[in-house]
Amino acid sequence: MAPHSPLSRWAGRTVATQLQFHLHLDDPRLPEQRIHLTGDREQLEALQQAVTTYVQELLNQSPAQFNAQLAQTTATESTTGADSVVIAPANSIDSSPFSLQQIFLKSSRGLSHALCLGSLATPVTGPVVQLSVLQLFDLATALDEYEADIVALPSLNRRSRVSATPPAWATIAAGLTLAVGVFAVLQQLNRPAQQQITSNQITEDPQQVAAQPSPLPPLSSLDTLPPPPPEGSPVPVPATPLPAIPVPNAVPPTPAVTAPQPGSQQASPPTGASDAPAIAVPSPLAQLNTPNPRSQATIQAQPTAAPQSASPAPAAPQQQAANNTTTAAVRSPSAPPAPSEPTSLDNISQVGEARQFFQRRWEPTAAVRQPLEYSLVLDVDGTIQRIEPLNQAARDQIDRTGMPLIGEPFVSPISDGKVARIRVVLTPDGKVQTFLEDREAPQVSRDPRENAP
Amino acid sequence: MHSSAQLPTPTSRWEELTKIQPNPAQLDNIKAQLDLVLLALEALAGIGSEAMLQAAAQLNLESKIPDRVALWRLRQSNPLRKGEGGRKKLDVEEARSLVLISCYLAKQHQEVIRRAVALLEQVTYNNEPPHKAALLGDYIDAFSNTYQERMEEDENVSTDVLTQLALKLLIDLLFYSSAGGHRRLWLALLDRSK
Repeated sequence: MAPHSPLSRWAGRTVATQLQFHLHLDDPRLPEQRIHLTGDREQLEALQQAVTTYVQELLNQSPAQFNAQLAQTTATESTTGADSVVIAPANSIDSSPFSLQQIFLKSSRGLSHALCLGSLATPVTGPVVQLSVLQLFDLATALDEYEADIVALPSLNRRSRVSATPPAWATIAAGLTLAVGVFAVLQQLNRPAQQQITSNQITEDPQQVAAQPSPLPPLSSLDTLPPPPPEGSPVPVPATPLPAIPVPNAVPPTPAVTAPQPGSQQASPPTGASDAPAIAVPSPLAQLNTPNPRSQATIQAQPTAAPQSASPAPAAPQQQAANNTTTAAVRSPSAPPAPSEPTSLDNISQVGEARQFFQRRWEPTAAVRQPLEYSLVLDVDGTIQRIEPLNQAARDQIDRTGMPLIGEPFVSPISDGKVARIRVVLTPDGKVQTFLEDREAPQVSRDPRENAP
Repeated sequence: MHSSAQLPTPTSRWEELTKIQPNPAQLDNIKAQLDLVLLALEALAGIGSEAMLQAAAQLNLESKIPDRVALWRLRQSNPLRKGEGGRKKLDVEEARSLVLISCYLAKQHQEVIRRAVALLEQVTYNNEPPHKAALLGDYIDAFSNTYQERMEEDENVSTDVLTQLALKLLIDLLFYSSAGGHRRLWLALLDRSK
């Protein structure tokens, strides 16, 4: 019995999901002790909620409150966070994240923070794990990445409630390894070989999958994020696999490779107590299990974008760093989700290359009744950095477009070192149009590739 | 944990946040806070108005902050400033522009921020004064000196208070330097100016 996601309650169908995440905590102060946490998506989301809220509380503190905490010398490690919660059976539709609310954080001695593991606690970890500021930051960043990836997926859905609603992950397999000195977060989706769905819960009603237009994002010059998906609209459960999720690998810059700032000297040698964390080399793991969902509409599930190169070898940095970092902030205004005349900016050869790329791959099916429009952000190395479907159809059909995966070879590198945004229009009669939308400043966020040999 | 009902949850997206209109008193406070965030960046990363204007250009915010004078006016809108401080009005768009610029710069200088935070944790753990670490000492001195140069004399502002303020801002900068930093900063500004 595959576990149902909470989505089932309101999507009117069962969405089987199995997401597991693994979290490794390396504490420089306890080099011999490596903490390993494992959980499912609900726990991951509870953790994310707890961390996000806690970080915001931390930032909202006044300097006086901050100081009071810093002056606190007694460790407030308590064992009240012991796990007394009974997790509802996985196949219970009503297993709500509320039973997992015991995951929370509180301030601890000095600058450190206590992560009360609640249901994530194991006999090895105990109920509470101490986190340094950097550990907390890396954890928060990793969880933000996770959330951003969910948001980046097509046919996702989010309620504007406190808890993030999980999207239809059912047919996605992705691995994420994040080694940030202290954390390695590894999320993996293991699809059951055979997904059994109780017949009374699967109502493949195409009406429920009525496409809704995306809301127009506000066109203020400060609109820096892609428009959120419509709230409360039904989630189309894909009969074909969704594109693989971009697997971000946000490796914050390692202090070890930085050139010393002028005027700064080395700090006093560490007394072995808490040295600056050593940054582990990430070993990205992008597993793409080809899913074969057994839904009523049996469509051959074939990943259209077969990776042209083998999945990156371990220790090769992931192709994309936190891509919704700078570029998200650099973009302005966001592309309106309506076709518009391209501004005749300095055209670049990559636009033509992209057109040829899709011309080779684009074969419309009967399901395509309107043009599919995408806004793609090209990284300077010619790979895709972001994929933004601009209409619902584009979201739903993305897996049939031949869209390359994020970070996959796509077009030639951009010679002037500027990020480019191109619009791709795929029409039902098989035509492909591409044009340049925008040139952007190069990314300033650290890219692990810089350190690649 | 206190969470305010009218404030969005931390997971709110930037667009949703931009619909929130702070009242004039809040904006006044936001002006002061933003000026301090930028001051911390100046002190730690040694950046000046040139880098801020560059960031504005890269974020397509030239319409809001076209030149050095405009930037200086925005910074001068901080009511804590000497002389003309606080006279200029800062509108919401300008405040948001400064939020984006601050986070953009924090991201650019994330390495040095990380290093400084790591050192701060180390000295704290060892119960040593922050000045023990050169990078922190330089930062705190630069922050304190610049603060005293620019802000109105205030008897309540001792060296200790300035040190705490600098360290708090340092840790905050770390969190502002990540992908969703601008959301975090905006929320913190709204929350702390209540």
